[in-house]
Amino acid sequence: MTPAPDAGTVATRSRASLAAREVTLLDLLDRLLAGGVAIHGDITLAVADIDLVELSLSLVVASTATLAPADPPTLTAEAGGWT
Amino acid sequence: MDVSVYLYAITDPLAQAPGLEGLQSAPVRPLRTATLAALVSTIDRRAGIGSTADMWSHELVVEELMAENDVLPARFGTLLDDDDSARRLLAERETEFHAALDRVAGAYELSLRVMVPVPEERPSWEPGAGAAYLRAAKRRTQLADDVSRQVRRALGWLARASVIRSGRDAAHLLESAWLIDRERLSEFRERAARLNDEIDDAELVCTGPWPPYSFVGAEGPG
Repeated sequence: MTPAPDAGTVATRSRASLAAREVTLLDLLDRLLAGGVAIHGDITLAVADIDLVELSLSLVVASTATLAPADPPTLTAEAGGWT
Repeated sequence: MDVSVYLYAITDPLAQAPGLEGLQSAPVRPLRTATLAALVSTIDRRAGIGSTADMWSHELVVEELMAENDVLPARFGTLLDDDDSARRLLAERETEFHAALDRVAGAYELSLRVMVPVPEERPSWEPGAGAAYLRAAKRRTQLADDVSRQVRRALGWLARASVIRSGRDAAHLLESAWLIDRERLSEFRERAARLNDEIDDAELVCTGPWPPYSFVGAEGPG
């Protein structure tokens, strides 16, 4: 398959503005935590799904607040509202 | 060390491992069966994962992989006991994974968010406040329906599949994901930008290309 010219990193392209970064982060969270191939059953460690996602959300709320001091209330509310 | 195998994506067995390091700076390696490969790295479970940096690590590994291959991105935080578990997973769900790879072959996911201005919330006890609230809620529903229809009409024919759902909060009217052939990405974005200019009451924000996270479930889109 030929390399696709459009497959750059989202991280690089979205540094244009804070708003774009916030939206990109939300899109990332939505996809990584709710999308993708989900593996269930005994080959998945029992600890993996729930604990990590809960941990993820609390850390994301904390880190976006640090990342975006100009506008933390909106983003924190959005990230916190995600489940 | 309490070691597990962290799963990034499932892909073609001929895929080369990305040069990037994965979570916890561990090298990413392919585990292959005859017809599939799982991209994994070894991870210390006790160290914990879940920071934004961890999520970007996961994403960047999958993005690098998807530049050259069709991929099924794994959900963040998928841990397997060991390499054999990963290979067993590929064998047990081979048919499902192949069907999913066929569905997303040659395509990427784009996100389109419909944002609306949020009026400042001032609790009001004046007469008529309840009716005003209901009117506003009705306007919002109407706007969501209208924009949803416009978006489908303008962009639907460009997509192999799409998912549109209500936004998470007041500012996000709609969230949507679109599975787009690689050669149509630019056209989709241009048309989305044009549509954004035409719509007065809302703003369309497009991001991507993403790995096809929203289109790899066993049940198809959704």
